[in-house]
Amino acid sequence: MEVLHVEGLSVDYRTGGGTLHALKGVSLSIHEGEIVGVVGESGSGKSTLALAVSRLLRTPPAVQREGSITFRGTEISQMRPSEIDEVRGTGIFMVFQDPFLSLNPLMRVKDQIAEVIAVRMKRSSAPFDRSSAEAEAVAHLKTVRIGDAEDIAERYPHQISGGQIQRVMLAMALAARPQLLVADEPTTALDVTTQAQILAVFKEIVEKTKMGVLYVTHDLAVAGVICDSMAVLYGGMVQEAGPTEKILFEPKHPYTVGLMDSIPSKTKKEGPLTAIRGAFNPQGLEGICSFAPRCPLAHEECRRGVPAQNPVDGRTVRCVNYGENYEP
Amino acid sequence: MGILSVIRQLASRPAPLLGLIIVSAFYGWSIVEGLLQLVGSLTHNTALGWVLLQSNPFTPSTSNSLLPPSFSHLMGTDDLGRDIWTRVLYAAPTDALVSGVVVGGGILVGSLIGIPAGYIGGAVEEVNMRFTDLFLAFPALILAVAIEATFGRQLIYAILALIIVWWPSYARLFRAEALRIKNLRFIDAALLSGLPDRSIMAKHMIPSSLNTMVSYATIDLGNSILVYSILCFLGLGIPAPAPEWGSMTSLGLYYFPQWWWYSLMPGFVITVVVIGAALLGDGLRDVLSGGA
Repeated sequence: MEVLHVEGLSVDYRTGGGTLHALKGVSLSIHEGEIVGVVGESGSGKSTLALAVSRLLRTPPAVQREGSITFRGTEISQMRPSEIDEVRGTGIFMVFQDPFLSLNPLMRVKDQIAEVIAVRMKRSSAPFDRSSAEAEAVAHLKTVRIGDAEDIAERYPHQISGGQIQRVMLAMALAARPQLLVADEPTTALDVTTQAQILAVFKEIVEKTKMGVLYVTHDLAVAGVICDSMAVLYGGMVQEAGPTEKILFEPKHPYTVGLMDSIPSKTKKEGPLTAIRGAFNPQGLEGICSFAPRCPLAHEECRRGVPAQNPVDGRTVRCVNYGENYEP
Repeated sequence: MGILSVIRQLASRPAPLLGLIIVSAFYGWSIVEGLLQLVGSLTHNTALGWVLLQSNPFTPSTSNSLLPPSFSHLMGTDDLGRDIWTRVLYAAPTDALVSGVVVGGGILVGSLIGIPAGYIGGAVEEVNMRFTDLFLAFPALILAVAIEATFGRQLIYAILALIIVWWPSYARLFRAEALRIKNLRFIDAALLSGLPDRSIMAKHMIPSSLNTMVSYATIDLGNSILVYSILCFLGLGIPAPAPEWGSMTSLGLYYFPQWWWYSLMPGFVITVVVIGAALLGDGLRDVLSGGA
């Protein structure tokens, strides 16, 4: 069953200085038990997408210009705040990039997890009992492999590490039992060992609970480990999307190719690292391929219009080299 | 950070330590004396109110009238020969009660108005804050005098009048805190948990903003005593013969400057308590804002 469907989503940031198109017609869909990765560099719009899906964009300055976000068949992008509150928690939950302020500094870990359990119980009209909720909280902490779960449950956020906070957030996600989990670079702020442990726990949880996951990251290696399929975002547009192995091992879009080339190999010395030239600049990209200014293969056709998504070898590629089709 | 560690940090510097001593002596004494007075009045045994005092604060003793400060009368005696220090001590619980209730009431009303203004924003913010401005636009003292003069000279009206002039500054503070806190990630996390706005404000925003309020409220305890004393000085406090610091200062003015202690001694006590609260509040701000 399809948990999330995003169709033609465009989000602008409107400030006194002008308008920035953060997302331009992004579409993707996530099914039960599926982990969909959204990969992109800083400024590609990936965090905007995550925030838009969980309805946490600050409006203003953000404005959803067009498109729809459907959660289990219900349009949520136009919902009023009181309605969206009903969807959150048991419907959509999110884990943030920066662990250090994700938990209320004045509440014990167990109380914050119990708070989520209380919401879930209330929605299913089940009686809420404080001590059994605390016991459940500890059980979830054990599931996410927190050593000494009973002790951690009694602590305040400043008394535990960033990796532990991310696990607590995952435990909260388990407590909420959402159908969709949005993860915005949940392991970026952590060291590599902790990252690997959390990813393993993550995968296990998804297999067990069958929740759909929107996993946002800039790290292709992480995406490769955890995602079933991925979408490469650049300039607010999906440039290439398809199954993970197709994209990682046989990239087609020049941007994806460039990204893959710029990952250092851990096994051999390969001389100077190739990098994509230039830097992303949102100016002057109207009506052309967003990657054209930095693309090594760019030619005249790239500036004739915005390339459409071409189906190539089990994925879609937004590049004129795979068919001269343009967005209307 | 536990309360003990806060106290330890306060005690490590002279000014906050002095403030801590003055404020705890004032409230400590007020609680003891206030309970005695309360039990005394409930059991129709008013003498219980001055068992700890040197003499009865109400009984005139004309032979002792207007004696200067000495070891037997630390602050001298008033026109009716009553010991001023005794009367000051007897009056302390009223001022303690007024300061506590006024500041507490100000925080309560201020949070109810200010937190939704900052958190929800939009029309709620406009309405709440313009309403606050309406009260801020009046000179506080004149508003309090008007309220008291309308309703009558009773402690409860004095307290109500003070709360009415007191909450607007807290409403502004709470709004500013709400604006800061609502952008923190854990509020998003609470939203994501499916909590309604009401619970987020009650369980996440108010507790988080109290840290900032503590030091401000401590300084304010002194200010509210000062304003209450001014009301009494103007003859709007609790009626005679009950002693009150402000009204004692005011009555003493008839005997100034020849019998200076009658007016200056109660005034001096007010000053000490107000400065004590200011020193403690200042110290608390340094400690709580993470200077340590």
